[in-house]
Amino acid sequence: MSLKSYILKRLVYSVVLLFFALSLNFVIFRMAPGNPIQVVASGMRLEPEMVERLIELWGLQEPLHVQYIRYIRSTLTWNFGYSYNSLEPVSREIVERLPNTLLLMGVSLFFAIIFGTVFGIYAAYRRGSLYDLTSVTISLFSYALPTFWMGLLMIYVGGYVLGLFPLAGTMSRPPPIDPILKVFDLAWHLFLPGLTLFLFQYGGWLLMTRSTMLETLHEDYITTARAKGATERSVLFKHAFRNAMLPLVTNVALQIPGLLNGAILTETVFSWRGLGLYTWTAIQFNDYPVLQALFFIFALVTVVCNFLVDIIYGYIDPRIQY
Amino acid sequence: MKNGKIVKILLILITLTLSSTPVMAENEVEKTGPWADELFFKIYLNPEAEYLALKTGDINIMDWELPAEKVADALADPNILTDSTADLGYYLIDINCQRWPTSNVHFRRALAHLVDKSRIETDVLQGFGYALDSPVPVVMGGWANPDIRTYEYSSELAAAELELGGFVDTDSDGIRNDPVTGENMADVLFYIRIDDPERKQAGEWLAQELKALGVPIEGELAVERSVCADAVMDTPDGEWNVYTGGWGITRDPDHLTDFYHSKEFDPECISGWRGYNYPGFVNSTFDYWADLLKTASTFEETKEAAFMCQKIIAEQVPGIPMYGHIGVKAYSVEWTGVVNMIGQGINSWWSCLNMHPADAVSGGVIEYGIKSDIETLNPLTAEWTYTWEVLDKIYENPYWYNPYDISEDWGWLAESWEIDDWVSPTGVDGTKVTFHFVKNAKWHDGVPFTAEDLKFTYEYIREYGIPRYLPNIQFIEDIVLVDDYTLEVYQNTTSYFAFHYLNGPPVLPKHIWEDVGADWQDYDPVAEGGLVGLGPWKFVEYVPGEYVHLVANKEYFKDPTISKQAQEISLLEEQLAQAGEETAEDIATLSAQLAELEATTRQLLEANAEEVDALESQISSLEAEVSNLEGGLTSASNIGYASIAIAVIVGAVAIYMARRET
Repeated sequence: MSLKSYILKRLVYSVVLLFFALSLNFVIFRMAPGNPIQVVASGMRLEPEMVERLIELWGLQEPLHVQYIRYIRSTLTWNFGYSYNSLEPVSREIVERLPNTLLLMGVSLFFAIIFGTVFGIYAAYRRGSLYDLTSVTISLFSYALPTFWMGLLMIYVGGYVLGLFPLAGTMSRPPPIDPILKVFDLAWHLFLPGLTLFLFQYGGWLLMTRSTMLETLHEDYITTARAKGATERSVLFKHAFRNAMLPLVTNVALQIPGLLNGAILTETVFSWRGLGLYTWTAIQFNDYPVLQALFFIFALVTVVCNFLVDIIYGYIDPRIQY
Repeated sequence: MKNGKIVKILLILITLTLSSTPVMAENEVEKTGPWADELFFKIYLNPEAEYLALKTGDINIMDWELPAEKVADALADPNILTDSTADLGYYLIDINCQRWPTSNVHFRRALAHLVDKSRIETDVLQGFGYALDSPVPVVMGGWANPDIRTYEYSSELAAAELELGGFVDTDSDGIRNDPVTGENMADVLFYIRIDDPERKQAGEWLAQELKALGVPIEGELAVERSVCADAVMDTPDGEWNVYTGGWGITRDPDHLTDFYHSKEFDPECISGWRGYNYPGFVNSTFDYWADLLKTASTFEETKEAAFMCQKIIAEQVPGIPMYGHIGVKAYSVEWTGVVNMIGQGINSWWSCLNMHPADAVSGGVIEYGIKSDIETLNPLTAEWTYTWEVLDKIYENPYWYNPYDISEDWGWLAESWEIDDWVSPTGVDGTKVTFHFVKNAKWHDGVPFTAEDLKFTYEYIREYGIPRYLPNIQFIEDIVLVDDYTLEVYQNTTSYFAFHYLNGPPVLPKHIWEDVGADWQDYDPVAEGGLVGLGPWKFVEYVPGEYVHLVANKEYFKDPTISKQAQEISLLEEQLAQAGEETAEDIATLSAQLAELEATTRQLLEANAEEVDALESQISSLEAEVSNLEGGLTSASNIGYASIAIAVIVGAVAIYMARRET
């Protein structure tokens, strides 16, 4: 199979998977308890005419299959309807929040990869040493701690006891006017949530790097490299790490959907206005259009990441046969 | 309950009472404002962070009720003050009056005997709530009927009620028999909310008590809000017996009619749900009084109707009122003017109007923590409580009410009004309200307010059927603009509360909203620059998820300039008086010192006179002595001179004699 047909095959597979997720998304919300009218009109005395008007407006009187087709069409055109809570277009609200989530996730993932990889390689290299033991213990600890708890601890210590960092938000209230100061202000606000999400990923990343490196370091070609007189640095980075990279690169893409879960809790604890917080608020208010849109986006991200992993795998591992 | 716990709660409450230190005299409200310069609503979606922000001074006042462990911490913090108030709302056991066996009144009364309110009060609410017997909480003052049937917590009395209803264990198998079929009773279906730990606990206790009396329970269905809404309120089959409900209410007791009048029960769910009276309570005597509650035009008649409604509810038990909440909220010790409004607490509209730094007459920036984002700033679509915490500072209503006595209306935008009887052309008895508005009110964009704006608001709501405010204007038959500052509103109801309905919608600026027209739902006042109100605070900026910034409306019709000056004058007078007092004190002290000095001087003078005399005599004697001495000296010198002369003579004789011998 050529690379082209392999990509095509994976693409078709991804589209089918996405369609399945999309359909499931429709079914789940139709099966969920409570009806949208009651959610919107809770506490309001609606006349029957008004109820009928809302049912008509939202197309709830139509048969399920018609609603389904309309739902597929709307979703694919990025039209997620209006939030029950804010009555604002969902797509607009998602676009507004997306940069904050990307920033938080991007920064924490970047540092988690750098530190996790470097310390993971070194821990594998010095297996059984005090350094290795300490690294593994710290990593297990940070990996096992609940994100929200870690976040609260960060706020208490960093924000209250030491008073070094802000307690909430993405900017000072009011924010500085100078653009450079604004950037510093954002970085200052990003520190604690970023650190929380970093610790959430760092432990896992270090443990995985260490584990894959240990496997690689026991391969025959490493012994051969050493026998050839290659320096330890060369053995470690040129021979071992290059081969250990394969599962690590895969993991980067696969971690992104998982990161979104971590972002829900981190963003909520730090009042960080991103998609995670938006999900939490929507769950709180049974805001079905928002949840439907977010679940679709999460499914989309997962499918796209998986697809990218498949492609990257094909490129970086010459052993892969299409 | 452990004694230690009771002591802890009592200590907290006692300390709380003592710690509440309103700077103004109790129940005092300044009817002008705003006294501060700016108002920042800072959004904290994490309540823990909001509390820490108060402790670090990032905010001055917070909007959520402190849980027990935070109250203890706040009390120990010298920079924080706390105050408490009862919520306008209550929690109850809803009972399905349409489904067996809860359709039997004796069964319902038995349930009422099994609710241990005192245990709920101490163990569940931990002092932050109070037991209720009526669906009219005590904070509603005179509307609560103190003379209604109450149900002592007692399993014996409950068993007796069950037996009165015929629910007896005839075959002694431990399960009571159904009086109709003679078989073992069918399961009683419980819906217990798990999203609220307090209601969950109360519901589970009730289920256990009922089980212990030989009544079978179908599980203890612990479900969250939307599931309950679906099963209890939204389906016509009514497959439930007991539900742990709760309501937020307004200052008028007309919720009694809404919740229990038979016309509010919609068994077929034609309106989308079973209606407010989802327990399906149908009682013609109650309906009579409930109708009167909504139509009586005088306070006395209305109160009698409210009392009768509560009496019948207590007798028939379509629900068992359990408890109301007491919320404790905190603010910074550096601020004064905080108004602890009934039903809302310190984070009231009045606080934002009155607050200013404790060390100044006015000014400062109020930093107000809210625990939710505000979502939309469109006053016609905004539903969320936290959105209204912002919007009600920008918009204005025709009148206000006393924050410490919610039954007392205060003239505000409408400085006065008359309420008269009126008969519609179709012969329906109604009410005519004539509003007289202040003449100095201006919209935030400088356009003067006229009565036409309120007329427009009511008509706009009716024309576009804006759901939130339709109940407020449902009785309006006609609106007549008498002049720019007088408006007559004709309502086809005689209800004592009809006047209150008119105060619901915020007054909208006609010059802005007439262009919005039918697009009210999509209208974004922030983006369109149409967030223009009459209220004490003007909108500046909203950064989603971060903050809302408002500034003081310097042209507010209740501008505090005169009050500020009066306060400054009174402060100066106080200072002057203080200074005067100090001067007088000084003078008096000086005078006393002077008098003392004079006296001392006089004494000294008197004492010195004797000494002087003595001295003078001494001097005289000394002078005499001197004179004598002088006299003596003269004699001595004379003798000296004589001696010298003699010596000279003797010498001359001796020289002469010697020369003569030679």
